[in-house]
Amino acid sequence: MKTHFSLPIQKLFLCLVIFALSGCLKDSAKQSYTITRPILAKLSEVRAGIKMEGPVSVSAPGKMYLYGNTIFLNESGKGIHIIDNSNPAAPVNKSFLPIPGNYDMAVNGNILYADCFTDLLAFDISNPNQLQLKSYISQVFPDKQFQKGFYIDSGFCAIGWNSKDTSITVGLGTDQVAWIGGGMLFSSSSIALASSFSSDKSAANGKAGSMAKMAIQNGWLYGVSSSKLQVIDLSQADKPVLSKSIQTSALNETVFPFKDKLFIGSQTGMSIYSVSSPASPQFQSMFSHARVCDPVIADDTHAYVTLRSNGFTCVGNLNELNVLDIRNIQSPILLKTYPFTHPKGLSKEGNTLMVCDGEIGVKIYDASNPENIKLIQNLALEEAYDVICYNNIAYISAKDGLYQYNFSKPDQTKLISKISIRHD
Amino acid sequence: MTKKTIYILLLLAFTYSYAEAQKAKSKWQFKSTNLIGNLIGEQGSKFSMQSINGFTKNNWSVGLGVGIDPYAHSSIPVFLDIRKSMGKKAWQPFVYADGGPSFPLTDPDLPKTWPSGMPGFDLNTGWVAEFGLGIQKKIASNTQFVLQFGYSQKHYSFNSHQGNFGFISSIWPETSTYEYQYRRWAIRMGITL
Repeated sequence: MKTHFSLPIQKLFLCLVIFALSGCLKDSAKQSYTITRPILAKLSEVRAGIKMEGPVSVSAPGKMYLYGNTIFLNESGKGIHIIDNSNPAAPVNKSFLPIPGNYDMAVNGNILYADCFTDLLAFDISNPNQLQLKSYISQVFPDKQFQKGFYIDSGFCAIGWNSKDTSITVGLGTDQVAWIGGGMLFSSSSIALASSFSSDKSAANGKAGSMAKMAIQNGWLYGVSSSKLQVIDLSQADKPVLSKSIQTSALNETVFPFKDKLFIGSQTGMSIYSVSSPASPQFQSMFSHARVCDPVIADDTHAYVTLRSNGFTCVGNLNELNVLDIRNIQSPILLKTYPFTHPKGLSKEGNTLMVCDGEIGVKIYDASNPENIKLIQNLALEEAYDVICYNNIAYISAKDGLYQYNFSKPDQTKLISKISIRHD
Repeated sequence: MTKKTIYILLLLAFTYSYAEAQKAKSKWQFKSTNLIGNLIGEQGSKFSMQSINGFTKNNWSVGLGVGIDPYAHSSIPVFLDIRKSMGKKAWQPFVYADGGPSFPLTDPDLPKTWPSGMPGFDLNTGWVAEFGLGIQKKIASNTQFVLQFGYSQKHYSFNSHQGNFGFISSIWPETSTYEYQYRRWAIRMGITL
């Protein structure tokens, strides 16, 4: 009997103890992260330190630029590999031009133009063994002042980053976790119109890929920098002059010149400018799409735009190829959409269209009917980034190498050569 | 979650069959303790359940447990449990300790990917540990009533991928790890078969 009476008393006592003690226990939370801070240097010192070097292994290939028998291959953020491609079957990595903060380049005559953080540098390449920095323009790419969330004062650049692990105490609820992933902007496809269009003129320069931020046309260099289209006069090639800075409504990423037009890929659409008056590009129209990354190429009648989601930069969730009818330049019409996995650079020569599709490789299409492109072949290359089709040779920058393929018979592409890439 | 469930079920089946096999050969006895109760702490009081299956010999019990722990962030703890009972009175006191990994359940507040396609959160496997004391009483030939009280701690963490946008202040980290330590009182009751 004693036991039966004592059980409820024990329970009651236990409950009282628990509630009395519950206030003693405190939960805790911490946030651990790595703070990165820039190692700053003066741009003048960086420029002074640029000296031609011998060949260096390619480890992080970026954009390509073809000029004559030379391939200029960007080493992301570090400089330019200069590759003698006189014999495509055996390209020779000749030298390396170390340019901190470099991602883009273009060539006009004997002058190589390359970005260096916010600035545009002009090198004389008439003697390939002794490139000379001839001049520079400051603040052509002002968006480069923002890096990893930092605003870097003009005249300075970040030549490296210091990282430090840090922990701080934070609140307990998930509402204490600061996130930004919720409502990002998405707009449906639409067309914005503008005025004026003129007839054709063209210029022969080197050939850049679709991911390029710089394009040379009719003796003018056009560079895109977030919301600006920079117009640079190359009439004195070794002393370029920033002639005009045009504010654009979109966040620009790529520029593709075709005859008297510039096709600008931005995070929210494709803009078309007329450069029939090269010093004063005139906005023609814009094809808007959801917020994604979108390199663009074009021919006389059609524009090809790849839309790709890319985490933070290109926050949309579209991965596709849009084909637009641009015969009426003021009113581009979306003709067809083709699904892709993770499309990046693209190029077209004749009826052959090549699209880098991330981890899938490079897809080769017969685009004789743009409304019904037909897959001919898939080159299974690891993480293909950009492609340039030129004179029946496809130059492909991929994770593991720079490839050259002969595609004179698109269904029977032949590997000509490969420059392997060293991964540290 | 499917793999984890299969893993847990296999472990339980193995434990049961092993205990059954042992029963025939030695004094080891199969034992299944099933408990319900509350976890009480700064985040309030949450109902929880546990099932511990193992074997017992000479007042010692060893078993593998699985439960539901909805405190703050829901998780499935899988743990090793050790118990030692004392004396031979009707109400037999015991002490216990357990610990093991705690598998997080998906949380709508912490999506892996946002609808926009941006990466969101990766939930990490955490851990739980508990120790305490209790009493048990035989209520049928092979059944005991169990009441126990202890201190329980749960570690829960996730990685948050936030990235950098130009408009975000300067020291915004790309990836943060959030770690939570939940300290609770655990009161449970149930039966041992």
